[in-house]
Amino acid sequence: MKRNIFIIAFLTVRFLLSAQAVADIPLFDKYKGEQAVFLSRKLEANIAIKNDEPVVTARNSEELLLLTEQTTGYSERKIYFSSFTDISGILAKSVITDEQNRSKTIPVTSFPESNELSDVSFYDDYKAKRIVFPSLARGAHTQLSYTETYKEPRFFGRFYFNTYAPAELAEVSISVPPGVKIGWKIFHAGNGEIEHTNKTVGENTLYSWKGRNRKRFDIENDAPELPYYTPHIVVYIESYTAKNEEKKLLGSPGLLYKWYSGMIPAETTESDSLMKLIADSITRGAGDEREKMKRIFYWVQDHVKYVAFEDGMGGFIPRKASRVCERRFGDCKDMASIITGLARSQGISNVYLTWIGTRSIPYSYYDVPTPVSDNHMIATYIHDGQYYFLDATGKNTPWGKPTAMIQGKEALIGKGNSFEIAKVPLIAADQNVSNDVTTLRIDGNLVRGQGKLKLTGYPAIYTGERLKSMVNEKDRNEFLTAMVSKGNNKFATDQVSAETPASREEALVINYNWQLDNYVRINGDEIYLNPSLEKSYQNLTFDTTLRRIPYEFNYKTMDKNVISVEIPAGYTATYIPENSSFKNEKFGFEIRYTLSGNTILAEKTIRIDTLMIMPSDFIEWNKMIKKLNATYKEAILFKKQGQ
Amino acid sequence: MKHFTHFLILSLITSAAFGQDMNAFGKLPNEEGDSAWAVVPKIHKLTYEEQHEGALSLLDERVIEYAWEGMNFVQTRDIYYTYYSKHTIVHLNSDRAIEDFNKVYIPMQDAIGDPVEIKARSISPDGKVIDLKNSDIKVLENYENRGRYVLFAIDGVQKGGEIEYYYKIKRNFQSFGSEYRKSNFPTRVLSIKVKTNTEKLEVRAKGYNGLTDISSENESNLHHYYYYKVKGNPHEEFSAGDAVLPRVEYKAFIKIDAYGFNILYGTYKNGPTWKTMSENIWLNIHTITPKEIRKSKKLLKPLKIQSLSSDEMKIIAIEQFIKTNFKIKDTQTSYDEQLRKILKTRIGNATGITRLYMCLFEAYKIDYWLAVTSNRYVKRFDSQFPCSSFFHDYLFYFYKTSNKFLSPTNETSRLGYPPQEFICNEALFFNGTQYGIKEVSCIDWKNNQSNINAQIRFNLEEGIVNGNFEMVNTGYFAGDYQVPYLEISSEADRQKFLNDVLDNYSGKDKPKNVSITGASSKDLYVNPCILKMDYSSNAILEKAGPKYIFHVGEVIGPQSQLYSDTARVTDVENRNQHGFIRKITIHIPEGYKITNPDALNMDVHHDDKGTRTAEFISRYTLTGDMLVVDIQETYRQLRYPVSQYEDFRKVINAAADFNKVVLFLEKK
Repeated sequence: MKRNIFIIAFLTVRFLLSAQAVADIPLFDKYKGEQAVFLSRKLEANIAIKNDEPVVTARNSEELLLLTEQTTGYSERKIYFSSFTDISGILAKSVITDEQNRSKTIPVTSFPESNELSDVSFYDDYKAKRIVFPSLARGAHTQLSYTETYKEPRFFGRFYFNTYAPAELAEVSISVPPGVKIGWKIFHAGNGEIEHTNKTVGENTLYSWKGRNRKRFDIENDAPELPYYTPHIVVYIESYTAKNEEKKLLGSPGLLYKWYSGMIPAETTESDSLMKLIADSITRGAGDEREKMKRIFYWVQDHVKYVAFEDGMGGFIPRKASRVCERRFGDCKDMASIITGLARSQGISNVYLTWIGTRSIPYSYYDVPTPVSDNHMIATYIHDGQYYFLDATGKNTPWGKPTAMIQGKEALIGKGNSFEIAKVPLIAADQNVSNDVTTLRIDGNLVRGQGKLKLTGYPAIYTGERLKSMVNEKDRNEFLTAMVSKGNNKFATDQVSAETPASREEALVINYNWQLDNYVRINGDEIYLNPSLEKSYQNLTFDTTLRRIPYEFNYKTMDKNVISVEIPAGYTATYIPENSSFKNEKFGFEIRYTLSGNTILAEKTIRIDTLMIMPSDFIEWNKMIKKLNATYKEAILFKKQGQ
Repeated sequence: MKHFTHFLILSLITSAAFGQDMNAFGKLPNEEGDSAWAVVPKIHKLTYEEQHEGALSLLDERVIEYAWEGMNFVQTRDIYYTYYSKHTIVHLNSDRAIEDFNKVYIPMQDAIGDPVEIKARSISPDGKVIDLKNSDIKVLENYENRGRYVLFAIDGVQKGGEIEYYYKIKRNFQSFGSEYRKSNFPTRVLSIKVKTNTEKLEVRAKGYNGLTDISSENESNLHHYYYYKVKGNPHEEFSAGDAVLPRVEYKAFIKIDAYGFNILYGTYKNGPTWKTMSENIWLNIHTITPKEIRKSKKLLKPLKIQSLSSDEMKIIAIEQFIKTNFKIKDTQTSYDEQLRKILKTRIGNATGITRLYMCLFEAYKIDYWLAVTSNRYVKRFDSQFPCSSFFHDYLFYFYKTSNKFLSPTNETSRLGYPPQEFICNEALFFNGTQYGIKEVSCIDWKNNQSNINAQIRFNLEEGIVNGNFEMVNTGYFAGDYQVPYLEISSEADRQKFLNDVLDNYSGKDKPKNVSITGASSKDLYVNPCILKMDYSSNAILEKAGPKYIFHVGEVIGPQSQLYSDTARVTDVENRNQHGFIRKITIHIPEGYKITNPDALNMDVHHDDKGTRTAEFISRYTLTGDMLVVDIQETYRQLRYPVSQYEDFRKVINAAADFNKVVLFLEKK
């Protein structure tokens, strides 16, 4: 009885507050299962020439319809901006429809501002204006519009057709005056998906791109960044006419470089007496130039801490090398600057400031020759035709290796008046190996063993970095034990230590003595032992009906496990699992069992030879995991002899 | 001039405090943290132990000083300020520690103007000193909506070196506050002083978790808390979070005023009491007018609340209405507290929304008490130290209707299940005529359960285990699923959420035929949330020649293990009292037998003076080809003192041990 009344009460509430505008009714069906839909999302940009410079203003406007009672997630909205844009003319309101189908507008009157530092920044000029929409309920609309004025036209423009809610219409339009040429590129939109038109409006040409019935974007764990898979457009000003002369702004890597390099004063990478003193002492006794550079790079890694300041153009201009040297901290640009400066103090001139986009950015400088293509700076040392990409933000990266986050990316190497674009290599799987070799002896209910885990490449870099940060012995031991842990959570080490590598180029080796309780199964005169103590990747499968976007790895890798199982005295192995393997171009595994004397050698290798598993690879990947899991569940059976 | 006098007074008090330190510890050598700013700083000598910490704070000294600074001649009132200063010296032994300490953020939310003083420097291992330049100090006006911050990075920091900084800020008179010591690294000398320069004021303070007052009885204007060799934060699982950290609570009040009563700050002869505080809160919040009551009531008219048969049903309807139609904004502005405005925009701050509840309760003649309490993961309410710093949030208590609590400010909680951080903690209760201290009741384990019912069948030919799985969650467990489920914005993502949850119980196979019931906003906490699925797993059935090994332990999902390589320091503090009742029905395939069913019998429990506090008990019954496993795992206490930690741990680990139980299947 109580329940009934309750339901009635609840329905009445719905009736009271859920009145919906007649025009919206079909949308509730069309977007069933969604909480909100944009009726439209628009970016209307205007380019004008003022004082012989192009000025871009962009009016953003959106109208969102709330489809359910769950409205709290949509009541707050933030407009993000930095010192490169001004925000003006904010209009925000809620429009609600009452039970008599009368619509009522409630405006938002205050837009408090806050500093919104980016994740890695210590200090920057990113800010947000906050809008809280009032009176939201099912059927309410929120409307928001505001104008962005770009202080630097090169920072305009990118527009995503798909965002956090579906949209009936997503549209970009740009009004371009005579004498101005624009370039654009559309990503991840199928044929005809985005409707493009040009028309003349007065003196100007109006370019427009429209997408209808846009889906909500996909968000998944371990996925690449949005521009890798979400439909979007990048637009930029190629040239404009001022005083009857065509001036080129963007459109080729050369123009971008010219702008970048023009911002950097010549003295940035000059050294002073302190730097010279430091560099002299670091390089003393170094055999050749390469050795000197290696020592300089390692010194910067060790002594200059990462602290990011991004203040206006400070986000683009490295600080003076001498200042960085004194402060002992800086951002990526500052590290590039001090590496170059220290090199200069030793008369080494073939070290260059280099612009680069990390792997979070999918673009090539040739396709998108604008500042959206990069977000990072390194130094490049070129010697005997060989390129050394020196990224000192990776504190444990060995000489000669790029950091994982810039693998495969284009490096824009600045050489004074000229530049060069070179490709950073992708490090092969067989250079990033985790090789765990152990013995295994059954001792009553326990299994015991002696193992050695050898790491090379990125696994060694990251583990080494963690170890360096741990001074406390207990923390180190816990960390190392976790690194070699296997079987179940009763795993314990009675001795575990990492050999300190002589240099960061060498493999990292962890030696350990271990034991594991409650793993081996004893059933009468039989013992079962599952030799797959580490079941890596067993849960990584993709639901092809739900996941539509790639899965990303930080680096290619090879996982090896070798276990030599001692057959318990008085027992024989009556069942040994069969060998198994899977192989394709991007990934594969091999598991092999060999019986020799009183040991069974179980060897497993899993190879990930790609940085991304694409949705088209999912079926093959799932097949591999299925096969792998079938092997993981096979146990060795030992039987007491003479029974 | 004003600053100058102030400086003089401060230095006098500082030297007095020094004498105190020396008396208490015989000496205060420079090596053990000198609170003065050395003209020529030297790198400190560390003990062997200290060298093996990533960093060591040699000195962490904070001073809260209440100062009388003359009179305001316009309003003819005494004017008081609160000065806050912090002086820190840290020795850095690791690169990681450099990154932790070379950036300093000074919270300026309550500060007046710029900091009174900032000094900072690095001292390199060979003694080179680099001072902070004023031009390197940055300001964030509203850092992520948390107010103003002043920040700087310290130049020239090196491993083996030290950093030292001092800052002092001026605030308006603050009648209360708390100081925590939060650090992952140890501190050699921790010193917190609360003092005043005037007889017109009185300061009182209390130390918690190891901080003791070393000032002498006759120094009524100073409280000095001192702690030598503080360890880094313990970071223990099942603990009370920040509430276990060393801290000082303090308050200040005006005893006498030049004009009798100080209108700005109030006056107390003996300090604020729970009674005066409850009266003040009531006066501030209970400002509702008959007109506001009428207007609020009108809003609820279609709900026909009058016709509901009990007060509890009325409360439920009012709560559901407000929580699904109003939004709480995190602001302190009086504008957001006005009912007129809240009724129009349906947005208000915590105080405003609480006032709306009061309006409606009064409109429908529902008897209520208001309670204010602390988040027990930040600090336990201390009835022995009357202070406003224990007031984190409001709760309503319905004494006449039931023994239930309602949180007006938490949109996803419901009557009977206030946010867990407020339960099992004392609170100040009042209703305009009476007041008292009482506990916000705990909730019995029987009302917070996550129960499993699984049917297991085998397909031996294909090596597959087929499971029908049902999980029935009640109370806070129900909320754990209902709240996130309600917040997900699309059907596809809701499906993913369910899959992610059930993935833990599906024998490493993908869940199939997934469903959820009891997950609408009206079900929140009050109705069970039931998750169901089927699965076909080949991972939990191992094969060894002709035999099968069934990992029955994995049917209940992964259980966490509590290790004990270091001695437990803090008491166990659970989120709630709860239980897991599980039933696994195994249909043994024809022609097969299970050779080791006894592996299923487990009994790990703890009784305290004859009362069961925690247990993990597993029993089986075999009837024909049906093997039924009944597991009862309960945690009937919210808190387990350190002395009972081992017993608590054994029960937790028993569940993890059950995870490893396997059954052997072989032909009869």
